[in-house]
Amino acid sequence: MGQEKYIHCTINGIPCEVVEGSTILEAAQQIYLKIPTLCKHPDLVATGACGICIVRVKGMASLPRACTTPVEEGMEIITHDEEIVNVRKTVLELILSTHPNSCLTCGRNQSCELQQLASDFAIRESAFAPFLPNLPVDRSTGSLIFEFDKCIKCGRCVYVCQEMQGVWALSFLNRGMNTRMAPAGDIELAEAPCVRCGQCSAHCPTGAIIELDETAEVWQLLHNPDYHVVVQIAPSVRVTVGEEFGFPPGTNLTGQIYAVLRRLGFDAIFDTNFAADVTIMEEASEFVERFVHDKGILPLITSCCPSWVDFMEKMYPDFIPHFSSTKSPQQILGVLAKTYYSAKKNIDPSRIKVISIMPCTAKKYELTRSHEMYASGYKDVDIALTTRELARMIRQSGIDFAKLPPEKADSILGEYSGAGTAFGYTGGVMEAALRTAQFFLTGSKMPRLEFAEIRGLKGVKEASLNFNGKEIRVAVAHGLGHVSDVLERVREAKARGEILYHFIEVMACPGGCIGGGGQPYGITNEVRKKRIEGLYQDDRSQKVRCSHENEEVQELYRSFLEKPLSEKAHQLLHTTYHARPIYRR
Amino acid sequence: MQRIYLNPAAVSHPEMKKFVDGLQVENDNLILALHAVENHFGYIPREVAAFLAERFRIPMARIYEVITFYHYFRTKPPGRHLITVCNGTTCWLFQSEKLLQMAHEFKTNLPEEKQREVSIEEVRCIGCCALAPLAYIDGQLHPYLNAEIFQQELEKVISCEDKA
Repeated sequence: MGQEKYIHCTINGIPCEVVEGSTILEAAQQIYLKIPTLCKHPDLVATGACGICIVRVKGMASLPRACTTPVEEGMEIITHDEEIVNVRKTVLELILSTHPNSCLTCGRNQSCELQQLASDFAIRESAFAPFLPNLPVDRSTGSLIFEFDKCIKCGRCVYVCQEMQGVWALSFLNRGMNTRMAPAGDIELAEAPCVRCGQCSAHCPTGAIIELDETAEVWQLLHNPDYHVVVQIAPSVRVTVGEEFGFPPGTNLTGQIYAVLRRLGFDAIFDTNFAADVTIMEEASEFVERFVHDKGILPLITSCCPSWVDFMEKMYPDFIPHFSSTKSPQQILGVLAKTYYSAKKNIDPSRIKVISIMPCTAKKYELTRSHEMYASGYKDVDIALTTRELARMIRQSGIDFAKLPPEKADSILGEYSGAGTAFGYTGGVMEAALRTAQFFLTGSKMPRLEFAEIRGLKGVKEASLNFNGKEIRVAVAHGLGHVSDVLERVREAKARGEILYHFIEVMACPGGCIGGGGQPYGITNEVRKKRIEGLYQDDRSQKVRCSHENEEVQELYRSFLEKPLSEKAHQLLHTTYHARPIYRR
Repeated sequence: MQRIYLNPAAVSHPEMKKFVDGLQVENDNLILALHAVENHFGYIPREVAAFLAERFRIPMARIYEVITFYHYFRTKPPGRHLITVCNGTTCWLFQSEKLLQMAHEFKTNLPEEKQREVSIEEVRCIGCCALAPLAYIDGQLHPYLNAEIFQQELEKVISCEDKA
């Protein structure tokens, strides 16, 4: 590794040593100074679009932007004085002149970066005549609401959609004053390649892109005494929802979430982690079928992420035979609630409503993805809420979430292993599958549990494992922008008649579900690492860490499904994939 | 199999595909290709944008970013008559805004079915500032315009055909 060179500068008179190449913004962060930013996000390359981060540098005639200006040896930087504050105020006033004054009814009320700055800089009146484009609101995706009038043209969403996710649903159309973020041509988002990952909404500084809020619909179901309303929480939600209530990222609140859901009025509290264990039973069996018995094509590719499924169906339909046909944990819990649980508890499935709490905006889309999502004879999962919506419901109820004593989930769809909880982070589905696949392949009662090679935030991770003399090559990709590289190489190898990998895991969002588009705002790699660490600890603290050892899962197979990949399992727990056009118009 | 950028609508336009396949441009020169398309069709049909995306192996969103950035490219077919008013700095100093307004009024005063045949566009400097203010009517350059001459020229071109 090359030696990093350090250079020196002063910021507001304070001497500062930074790595060469650091920007003024980064240097200021080192001495705990926050320069305001609207377009720059830690995940993204600086574009200098908004102009609010201007600073003064001795010897420079104009005020350079801190986000794009590298520190030079001996630089003397001032980050706040009367003129700087006034310029920043003018920048805000200009932005606000093209922004509606609808904070009270906005989805980002109190979580908006623009609102925060307007408050900090004491903007008390409209300095410029308002100019609003009055463009129509796009609700076409059913997951995300795109309200262009609230856009401040920072460009984060476009960068996220094109570079980070490689989806290219959003683009910059027109130029200058008329620039807008939209799909190619005069079409709606649902007609474009959008996979509803919601990363645009997680990075938007304002309310221009928000999730569709369905909390009112859930309250309505809870209010209706005819319904038996059950709820499931996704693996990652347990370590993220706390951020909405002042807990540090990664705080594990599983027991408190069960407790609050019970107090909100849900009739049974289930855990998506249980269904994740079932997913692993099916998926690991699929892998063994393909790997040992040659029944099906390798690599096997995971399919529990609905954005990834949508992406593959649009961009890589030739990979359909590689996809695991096992449904996602959300859908598996839904169908089991309306069949297995319904029969055991003698509740008519038409009376059961399943709500899921997900980290994800695409999970809303998954509910009606295909006719197989109605395998119980009813809509398997009725409503999917994001973590942010759950936090809103808790606040609406007035329950002091932070002080609730932890409770337990309900039988018979509530017990989970450490493998189930692993579904929330990148590499986790692979890890969970490998734990059980080892047992299936070698019969080992003490399989290797953790695979450091496929953990962490590197975009593409690979490992070559050895189970009883048999080599298994695996790859893990997260952030859809990293997928094409892996798939192109698999394609090339395939053309040569080789198998590059035996098993590939893909999650659409960077970091996996803990970085999902429906999670609490303020995502950075630091936050991702803490959330992942929270799940690692949850996994380690479980007595049972392999899906096949989960007793409720064993009971499910004993009394209902018989065995993995049985006819009944196929009917309820598996799905099919179909090529879809990238543009519908 | 390759990435498919096509939409179903594009598939039913083999003549557009043929045109794109026959384009003699380097694969990285999108602008030249777009000029060729615009010259041939008078605008950039969505289907052609899809075929271009496929040929150049770039996302269609990128093509629309380019088309909408440059005012020269159109995404809708122009009318039979095209009035192009230069609104560059020099022409603007010579009251080109008034000419533009006149052109729009001229169009609104036409019978409805006739209106659809007329397209008006505003362009930035076309590089003949010495002739300011100027406009094109159906490709014919009209220099040193004033309100009177412009009105006459518009009537000449557009009502001429009525008589015929």
